[in-house]
Amino acid sequence: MKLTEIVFLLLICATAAGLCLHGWLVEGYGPIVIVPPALIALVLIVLAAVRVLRTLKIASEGAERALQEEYWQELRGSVPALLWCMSAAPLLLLLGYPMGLAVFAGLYARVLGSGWTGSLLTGGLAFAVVWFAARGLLGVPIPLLPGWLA
Amino acid sequence: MLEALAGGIALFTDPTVLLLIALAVPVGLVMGVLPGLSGLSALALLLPFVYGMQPMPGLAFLLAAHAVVCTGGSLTAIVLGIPGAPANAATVIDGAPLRAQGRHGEAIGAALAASGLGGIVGVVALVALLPLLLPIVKLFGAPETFTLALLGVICIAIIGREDPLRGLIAAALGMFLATFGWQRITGEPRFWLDVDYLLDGMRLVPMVLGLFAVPEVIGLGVEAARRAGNGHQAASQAALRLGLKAPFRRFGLSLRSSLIGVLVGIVPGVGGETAPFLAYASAKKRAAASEGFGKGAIAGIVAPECSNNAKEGGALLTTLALGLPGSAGMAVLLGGFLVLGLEPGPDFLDAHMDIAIGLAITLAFANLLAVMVMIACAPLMLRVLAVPPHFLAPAIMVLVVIGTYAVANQPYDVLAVFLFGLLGWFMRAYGYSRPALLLGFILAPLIETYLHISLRSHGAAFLVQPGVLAIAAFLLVGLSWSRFWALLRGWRSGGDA
Repeated sequence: MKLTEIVFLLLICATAAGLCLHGWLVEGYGPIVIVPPALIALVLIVLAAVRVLRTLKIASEGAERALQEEYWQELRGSVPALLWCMSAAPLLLLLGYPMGLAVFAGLYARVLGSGWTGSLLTGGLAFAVVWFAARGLLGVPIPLLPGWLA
Repeated sequence: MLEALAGGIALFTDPTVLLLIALAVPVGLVMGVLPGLSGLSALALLLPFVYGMQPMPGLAFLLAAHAVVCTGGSLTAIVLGIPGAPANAATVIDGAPLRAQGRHGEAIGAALAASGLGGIVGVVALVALLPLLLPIVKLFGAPETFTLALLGVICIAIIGREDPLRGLIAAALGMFLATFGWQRITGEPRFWLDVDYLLDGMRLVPMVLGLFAVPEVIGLGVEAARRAGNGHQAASQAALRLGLKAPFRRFGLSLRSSLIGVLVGIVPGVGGETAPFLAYASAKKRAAASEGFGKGAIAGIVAPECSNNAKEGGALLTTLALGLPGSAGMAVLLGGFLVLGLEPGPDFLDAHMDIAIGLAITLAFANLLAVMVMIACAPLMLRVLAVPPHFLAPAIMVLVVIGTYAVANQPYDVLAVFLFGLLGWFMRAYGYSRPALLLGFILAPLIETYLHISLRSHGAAFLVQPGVLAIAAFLLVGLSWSRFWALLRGWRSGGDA
């Protein structure tokens, strides 16, 4: 459980440090451009290091361990819902906005416990919102073709 | 000041503004009624729609929706026994027993009237205090603005509900994300990695929707099974009317609770959930045992509901005058300032006092309209409670994608909303403050610009200017106030013993 948070902190710190080094060494940014983000990155790294050390140190202590366990349970319990939400992105790419969102809405409703009729209605409603409301009424130029065909 | 007042009234009475408020109030109420969706979700979902609007209509639209969420949430707290919005948590304590006694109609009436009354007291306090702050903010130069913005971000990161260290990490991450794109002083592109999309920096709307709306959708997915089987009962109009009189019969309690709400709202970053519990505790402490707090006391509904609506007046005060949001919702509202081309901070009040007054009137009007809508549509709102999460979650996700794309017709924005959704989900699960990240993101450009101006005009000596030191001391006292108070109480109780 503590590993997840440590990986998260390492990831954001590495990204911040990498971008600053790239800007300074490769892009050759001047001091006015690079110093503010470098300072923020430095603060971020120091804070994250303190957090990592604290996590490693107190992970074995009662109350903090219970809290970490709670975070971990919440995180693990919501992974399926997260993956379903994220599945909208590949569906948009593969099927385009109107169909992709309709398929996503229908499938997600079904997975969350709706009956087949309810799921089909939800999917149909999503298609209607994209096609008629957003594209027709509001004039949003929503791409109709899938991303790989456009 | 009179000129600004007239200007504010003129802005408010614009038909477009009135129409948008009338649209936003039902949206905010429904968001409040639906458990699992907060005022933050309402603001996040409405943010894409304000693009291209004039500042006053756009801000009035966002503020009206956000301000009435607690009014709608009180219905859920009483009827289902779960808070519709986090700030309604204290209402559940007496709301659930009242429902069990079959007095839910009276409780709903009391909650609605208390919400309206609290909202009005909050606005009166806001209008009374705004002119007092104006001469102070007029004294602010670049060094003071820099100090206020930087220390404000730090304060909000530390004071929030979450672990202070995690709050500071979130704020620093938000500030770092704000450094992408054109640098405001030199005009040089920064961290764009040859991706044209990044030249304009991280976009606010995908960030807000990703951080606040996507985790709510995920939460709804998790909650889907939990809410199955919750029934609801109809409330009679006679019982509603009886309840509507309750806050006026307990006017002292209503006023005291509202003032607690205003004071908590003024303190940047304390959060909306604190005020109702403080008001409830204060009411319980002063009440006689016969009131039956916790067992179904109407006063236990009036106190938290007065304070949770009044706190918006206090929160709006620091948001408008100093650019420091008093609550998480106000942090998203600050995002609305940027979307509409306004820069938050001390200069705002000086330049746009008329908008500030217009927003105060909007807040009062939205609260009153919300009460009227809820009284008229209580049976309909009770039906909204029956909307299943397995329909809501996909529907909101579709709105999030469409809303994000509609802002700039940019597919990368949709990709960004998923990435920020992932970040928001992780931050929510691990207790990292999302409002602190957003505030860091919003205020970082201001901090960078004013730091540059301060250094160019004063050198490093700007750090010891009287204004800078005064602001630092003020915020430091604010930060350590709770510890000081605890020490004082400990000393007193020690003395008594």
